Amino acid sequence: MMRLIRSVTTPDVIAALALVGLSAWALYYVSGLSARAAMFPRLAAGLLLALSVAYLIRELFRASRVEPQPFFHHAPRFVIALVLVVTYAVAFPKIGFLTATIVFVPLFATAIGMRRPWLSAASGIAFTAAVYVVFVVLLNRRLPPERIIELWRDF
Amino acid sequence: MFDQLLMAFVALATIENVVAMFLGTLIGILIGALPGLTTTIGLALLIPLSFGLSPLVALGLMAGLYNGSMYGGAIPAILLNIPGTPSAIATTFDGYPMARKGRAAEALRIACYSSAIGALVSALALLLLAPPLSLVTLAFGPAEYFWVAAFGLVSISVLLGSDPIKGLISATLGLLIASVGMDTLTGRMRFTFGNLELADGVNIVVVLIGLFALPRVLRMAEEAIKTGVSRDELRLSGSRLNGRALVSLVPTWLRSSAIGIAVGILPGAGGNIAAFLSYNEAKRAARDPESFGTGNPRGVAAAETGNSSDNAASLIPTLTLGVPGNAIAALIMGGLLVHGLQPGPALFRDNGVIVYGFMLQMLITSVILVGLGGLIATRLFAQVLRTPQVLLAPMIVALMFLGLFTVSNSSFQLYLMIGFGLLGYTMERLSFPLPPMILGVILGSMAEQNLRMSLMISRGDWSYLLASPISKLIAILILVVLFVPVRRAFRKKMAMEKGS
Repeated sequence: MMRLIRSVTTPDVIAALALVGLSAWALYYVSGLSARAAMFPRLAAGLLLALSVAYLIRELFRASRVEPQPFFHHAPRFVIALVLVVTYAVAFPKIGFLTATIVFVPLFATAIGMRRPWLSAASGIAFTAAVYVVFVVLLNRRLPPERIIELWRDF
Repeated sequence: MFDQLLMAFVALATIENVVAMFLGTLIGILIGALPGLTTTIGLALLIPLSFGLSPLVALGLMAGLYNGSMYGGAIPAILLNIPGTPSAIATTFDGYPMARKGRAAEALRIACYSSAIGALVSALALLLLAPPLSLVTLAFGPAEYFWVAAFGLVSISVLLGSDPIKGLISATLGLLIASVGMDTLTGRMRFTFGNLELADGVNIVVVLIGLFALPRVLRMAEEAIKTGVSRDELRLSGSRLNGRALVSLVPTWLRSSAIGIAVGILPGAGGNIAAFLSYNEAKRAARDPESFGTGNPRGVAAAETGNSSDNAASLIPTLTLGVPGNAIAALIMGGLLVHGLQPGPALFRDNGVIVYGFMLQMLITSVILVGLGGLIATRLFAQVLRTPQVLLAPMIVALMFLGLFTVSNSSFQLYLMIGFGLLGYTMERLSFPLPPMILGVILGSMAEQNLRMSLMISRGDWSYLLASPISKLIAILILVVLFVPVRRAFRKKMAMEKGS
């Protein structure tokens, strides 16, 4: 039984199940809307449900015949990269673009395998400076305020 | 038309526009030269960054990037046998053997001239064909526009990838995303969960960057290529290209331009298909077909003319019907929408100067390409290949966030973009094509509005959708497109039976 479950739980089967669930939920959600507002999303969700069921049936038949492929190329590096990207997304509007980017570029490069810290740091500084010149000096764009400069001023 | 063309020419003659076209072409060549970065990623990053610029300056950057990246892809294809963009795959067939024989500089010059000629002919086709076609679309009503949107979605979903079910699922997901936000006719909120930032719907820039750029960054991180290409691998010797050699390429340029334009107008096909078809035709027409693949300059010329002559031609259905034929055209349409320009016949009537200006920019940037893509510049661009991908990945992330933040000024949009990035990564790993989803987001509101307007006109009679001959014709075309995979599967089965 476990073997059977394992043989059919390929990424495609899981994705098809998720799509069936999503489309069923969307159909349920639009049932609470007025008929006119619900018409188009209902059509889209209905179509998605039909296609997802077809996809699921096909993948269930295929699952036992196809050798499962790993979903990630390198899961640890994927997780590290994702965590750093999310951290940057949180930090960037709060501490400012310059501070966040100068730290983020070398940190990301080092975390995924760059072994030349000076080159990483220099690249981070050069890139941030170039972006600052183009966007702030030349294009006059407003970036999030630099917390470190504000703190320095307060101090 | 000529008045507007003249006015567009005058409008382009400003320092900002000229700088934008040069800069866009330069950035395009750089992006094309970096393996892993494609025209779509470049445009997805550029669109939010160009927000706030005047439409002509922003479109000049986009036109330059589009034409420049098509040539840029040839640089690593010739020097390293690594196509910089998918469109440059056919360039490796003869470009790399030429480089191995010490003729890298000559191959790069042929690639540059061929790209420029292909882009130039394609821009001329856009200028000549788009305005009359836009007049034809004036005969279209809501029902016809609904079918046009449906045709665009179905053709991209079925013809672009190898799996039509996955293509159609991708497009339908795009339609659901397009439903998010306030319903314009009833004022009811749909799929917003009380979040006011979703009231205007999902920002197209968020979807574009998330789907195209973040999955590439995550893949770069997983691959973690720590070193760039060595200096020795990028050494170029002098070029031996003379006038007679260039004249001998003229028939190849003409044939490949015609193929590229035809492929560009067709939905679902892209520069790589145009390049392959052009290469095959050049080989078929040659007196020495056996020399192709061993370093024949006509092979390089055919591939590069083919992929570049697809550029502006693919914008013909985008500008006239508002239906992009491929991912790049969908991104350019996103760029037009960001600047408040709605493609379709009204675009030519209301914003003639801008749309003709854009067509002229496609033409001018193809000429700029010759100047920028010369050997000295090519030597410089080739050095970009020395940048390790582990350093490039965080820089792309920073540009993505910067671009999106300057457009939206909202942290929520950054998180939403990461969500779309993860969705794009998952879809790529499961071989779902991404362009149908983008097209679903772009065409969703057009399809919905025209469907509902048709039903309002006909008081709920669905047969009205097939009342006019144009609607019937487009509906039949949709059925024909849906029949393509069935025919494909049948032919595959026949071939397998024959083989066994």
